[in-house]
Amino acid sequence: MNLLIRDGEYLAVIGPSGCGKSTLLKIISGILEPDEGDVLVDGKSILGKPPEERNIGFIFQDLALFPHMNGFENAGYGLKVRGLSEKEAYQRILEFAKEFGFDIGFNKLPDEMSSGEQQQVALLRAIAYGAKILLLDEPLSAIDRKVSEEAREKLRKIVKSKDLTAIHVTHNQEEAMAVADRIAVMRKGRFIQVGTPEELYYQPNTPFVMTFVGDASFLVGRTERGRVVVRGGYEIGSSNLPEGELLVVGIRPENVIFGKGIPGKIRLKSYLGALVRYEIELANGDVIIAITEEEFEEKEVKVWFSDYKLFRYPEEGLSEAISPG
Amino acid sequence: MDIGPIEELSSNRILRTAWYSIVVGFFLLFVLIPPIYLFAYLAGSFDKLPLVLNNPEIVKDMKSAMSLSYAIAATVTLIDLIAALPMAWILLKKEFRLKRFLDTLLDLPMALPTSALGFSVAMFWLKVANLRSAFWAVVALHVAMSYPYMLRTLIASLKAVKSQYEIAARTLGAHPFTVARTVTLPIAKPGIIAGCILCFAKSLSETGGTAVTLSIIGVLERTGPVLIKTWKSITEQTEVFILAGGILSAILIISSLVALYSFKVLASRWKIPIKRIWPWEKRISRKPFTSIRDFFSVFFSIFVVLIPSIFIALFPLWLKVEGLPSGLFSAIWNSVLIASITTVINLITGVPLSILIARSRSSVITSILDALVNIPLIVPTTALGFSISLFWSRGVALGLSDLTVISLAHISFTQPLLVRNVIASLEQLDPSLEDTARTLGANPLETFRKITFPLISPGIVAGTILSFTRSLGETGATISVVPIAHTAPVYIVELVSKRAYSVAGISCIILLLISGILLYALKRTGRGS
Amino acid sequence: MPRVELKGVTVRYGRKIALDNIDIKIKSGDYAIVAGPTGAGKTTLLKAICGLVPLVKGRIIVNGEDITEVPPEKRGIGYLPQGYALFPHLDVWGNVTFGPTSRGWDKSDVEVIARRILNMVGLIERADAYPHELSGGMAQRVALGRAIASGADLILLDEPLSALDVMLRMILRYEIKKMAKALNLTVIHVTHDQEEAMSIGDRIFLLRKGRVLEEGSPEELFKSPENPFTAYFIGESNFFIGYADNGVVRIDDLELRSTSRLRGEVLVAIRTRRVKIFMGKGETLNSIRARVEEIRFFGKVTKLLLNVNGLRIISEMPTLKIRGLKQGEIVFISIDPMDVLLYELETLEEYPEIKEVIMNS
Repeated sequence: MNLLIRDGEYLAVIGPSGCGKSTLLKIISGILEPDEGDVLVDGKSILGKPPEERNIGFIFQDLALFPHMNGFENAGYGLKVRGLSEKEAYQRILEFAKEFGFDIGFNKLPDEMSSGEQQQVALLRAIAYGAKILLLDEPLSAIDRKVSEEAREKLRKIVKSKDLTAIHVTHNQEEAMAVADRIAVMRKGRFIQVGTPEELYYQPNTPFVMTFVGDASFLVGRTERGRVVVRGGYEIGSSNLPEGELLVVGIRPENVIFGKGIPGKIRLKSYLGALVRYEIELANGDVIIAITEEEFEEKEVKVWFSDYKLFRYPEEGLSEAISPG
Repeated sequence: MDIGPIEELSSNRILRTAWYSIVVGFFLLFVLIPPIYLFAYLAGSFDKLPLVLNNPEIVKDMKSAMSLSYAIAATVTLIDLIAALPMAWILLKKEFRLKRFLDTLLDLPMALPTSALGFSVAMFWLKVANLRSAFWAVVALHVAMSYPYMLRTLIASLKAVKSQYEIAARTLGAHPFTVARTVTLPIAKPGIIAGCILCFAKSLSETGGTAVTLSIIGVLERTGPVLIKTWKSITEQTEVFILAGGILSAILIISSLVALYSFKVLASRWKIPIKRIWPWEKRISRKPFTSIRDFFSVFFSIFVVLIPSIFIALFPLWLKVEGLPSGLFSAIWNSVLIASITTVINLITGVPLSILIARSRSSVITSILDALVNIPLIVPTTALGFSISLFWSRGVALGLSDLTVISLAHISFTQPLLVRNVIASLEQLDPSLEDTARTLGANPLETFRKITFPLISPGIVAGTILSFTRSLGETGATISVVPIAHTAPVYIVELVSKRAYSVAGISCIILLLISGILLYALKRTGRGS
Repeated sequence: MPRVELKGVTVRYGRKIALDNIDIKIKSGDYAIVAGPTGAGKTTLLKAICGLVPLVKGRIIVNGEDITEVPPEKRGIGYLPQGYALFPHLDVWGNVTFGPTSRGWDKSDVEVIARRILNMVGLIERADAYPHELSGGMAQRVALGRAIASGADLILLDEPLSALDVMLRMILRYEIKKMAKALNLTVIHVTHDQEEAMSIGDRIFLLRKGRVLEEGSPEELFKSPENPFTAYFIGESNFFIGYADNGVVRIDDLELRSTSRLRGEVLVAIRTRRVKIFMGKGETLNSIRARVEEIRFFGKVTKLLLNVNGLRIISEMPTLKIRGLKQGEIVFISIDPMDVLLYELETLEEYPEIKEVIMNS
């Protein structure tokens, strides 16, 4: 793997379970040593340095707050290890808490705290001693959706206000889009594509990236005389790929427009709160998803696509190529 | 046989309650009350107490026995803790070639009945260092005997500390020693305390091996349990000595409970200070300090624990082989018989009791029963046995055979071993498994048979083997019930007291082989679970 | 006649009341969702319906029959606990056949149903695999199949998708709904994920601290929530404190029209998706000038932080409609009076979560 992360950047690393995201963090933090290759911070190699000498903050998936220490002792641990006295550590933690607007029960033990308080203590603990790099391993996956939506806003604000470089691992692309400057998509131990949320959304390199960052339906077709033709002979639009070659058409749900085009039947209608999701079985048997603000009562519809992405048909087959692996 | 209709009955809440009441009743009658009977007996003989208390020699013997027992127990616990902790660390964290081998070897002292162990250890230190001090000889024995238990408990507690905590501490900048001091050990504290309590209680309770050791070095001092054993064997003035034995047993029971409970409370409250972290902690996290520490622990385990334990097997040359010991095999047979009866009864009554405790919704009942179940584990078995023999011979004069009464005595301190293991297995079992089975149509008994039992069977097997081997090796309780009992451990004590060393030696070797096989079986199931 | 009815159901754990006087009616064939934050009592509710926890008071009626005193094994309700609880010592076949076997079905019947179910969930090939060999998605399907195979047509699902990756979650939720409809099952599905609730629920029951706060179809709860917590938990809303009089509510320097007749000090909730943005020139009726402070791209939708006369309002718009919009630009927003939701200000005291949202903005 090769990756360059800039100073002060908030990078999200996303990918399905087992793709190696956590291993990546373990290597950067020194918990694991790579078999080959190097890790450099500020131009200098940190390979071989044990974790305690790397000065990198880490927030674990289940937070790993020391169960026998209260909020203050947890948060101040890194400071004490660096020789600060109890009083100095307490001061520093209070300052940080005030700056971020945290209201923590400093005397509570972790299992007496709410999950929000626990998150705050974990964050303080990781950055209070001045680490410039922060690693986050699925920090929001264990909490309620609503709470995590609020927490991630705060997280990004704090990271930016302290000018930290953050590497945030998650399998939730919406979370990644909410916090990150750039996103790196990982699959089976490799980086597939790295870019801003817009770049990944509008210019995905592969069907996998297209379906992992945002939703997409895929149709299989061919180029015939410069036009994309799918099963059943339906023409979708123009193609710039070589004639006759098998290709994959990726269609975002918001680009499915009702009114004219390929006939189909609505199989499932789901209300998403001001938006409606339609599962449509096209006349040729393919299934596509459409999301729009409009409501349709009819079952029979006609659809066309205002935008789509073309990919060469993948060697391993389409379902394998877009599966989480 | 179609047991469906019987299982159907288990859906009935009233029947279930009745069944559990019977189980608790059995527990109270056979496990809990007999050991406590002692106090009723003493209260009843209140007017005769001065007979004992005004006898200066008896009182003097009691006092010195008590102080010797407690001094030994405290010393042994301290030594075992300091020696086993680094070893537990090594076995848990480090990888090296002979690790599996060393791991198995260190369980060896558990394989021997303590009287055989006492013989081996005493002989070793006698030959190697001419050790004739009663205090140190018994300490040496108890250290070797309890070491594997302390080691296993420490390993289990350290293992239970999630590695996430240690990793978190390291990323925060703490060096390995600091991590151990501020994170791992404090979190493992409850387990460490349990290990110390176990070690202390075992030392206090130990009879057979201690008697053998004291016999070999030929001194007059006696520890508490050994003193009780001696008194019980006295054939004249029996009433005075029975009373004396009763008083000493009562004192041992109460003092051990008080001492250990206070220790537990105080130690739980004591917080390992994390106010300051010193710069030198970084240095001792590295070599050469770590190497010195590792070397010391391995050295200790081999030369203070391992070799003394198997000394008899290593030096058969100085034993003149005079043919097989005549009484040994009948003694082994008796031991096996008693252990079998004990274990079977433990299974039948202990498993339902474990379910009751583990699944009870009322926390009050649970903690009461839980505490009661654990008491026989802490209290010196000789004292227990004394009380039990009083109960069954005087309190309830049913004319039971010696074998039966010994079994009843053994049940009291082996059932907790089974129960604790089964409770641990039950607590690890995801309760939604049983819930789901019920919703799928299985009544409670069917659920137990098809789901619970298969999943806790490793725990049951482990508990059964523990119960069995514990009974096999028990000396104190056996003797205090029937002084002339012919069981294997007692046989060895007798041989040694008659100075028939070569016969004793061979008997020990044979017992080592048998117990070794059982221990191996236990380790196999342990690995499976 | 409702399929499932809970009347005054109350459950206690020690001193804590886990379910407080629950009244619920669920129609046959409905896909009902019980949504709520962690600790609301959702799992306890399912367990109560199954008979796994005792009731302090209340009745549970299924198909017109009072089953409150019936033991769990006789209720015939399918239950999928959190984590699936697949029997680890039995293979997939053993798990799926457990129900019918325990109910005493004929061996040949058991085989028929097991085969049919395994085919339906697409796992007939893995019938001899053990739970620990299965992926999360497969395990979930086995658990579902196991619940259905026992012949139950009332199925309770406890957070069936929480353990899965987000991507799988989004695909499987629709599959479960379709399967339930195809088999004519009545389902009670518990979740803390409101998007999941809205997308597949026929009817949603919002649970908080052991009480049912509100119930309704996804559309009802989204468009006209009667309770501010519903506006908070389901979908996303802006919250303000304002003063209402005669169909107009004043929030700092902003005045909005509202269809609500509430007067005095009020709590105002406006759905982020109902703050409509119009780019470019031309004011329309009721449009208000706003400045774009921040833009956050989320794919098919984009969230904008708007400054409206000093007030900060979040809007969520389909990206296509605001293509090209940049930070700092001026836009015009319009909010339909039906979407300006008003509540009594006192209710704010009951919901500290909403208080915090107001404080944070």
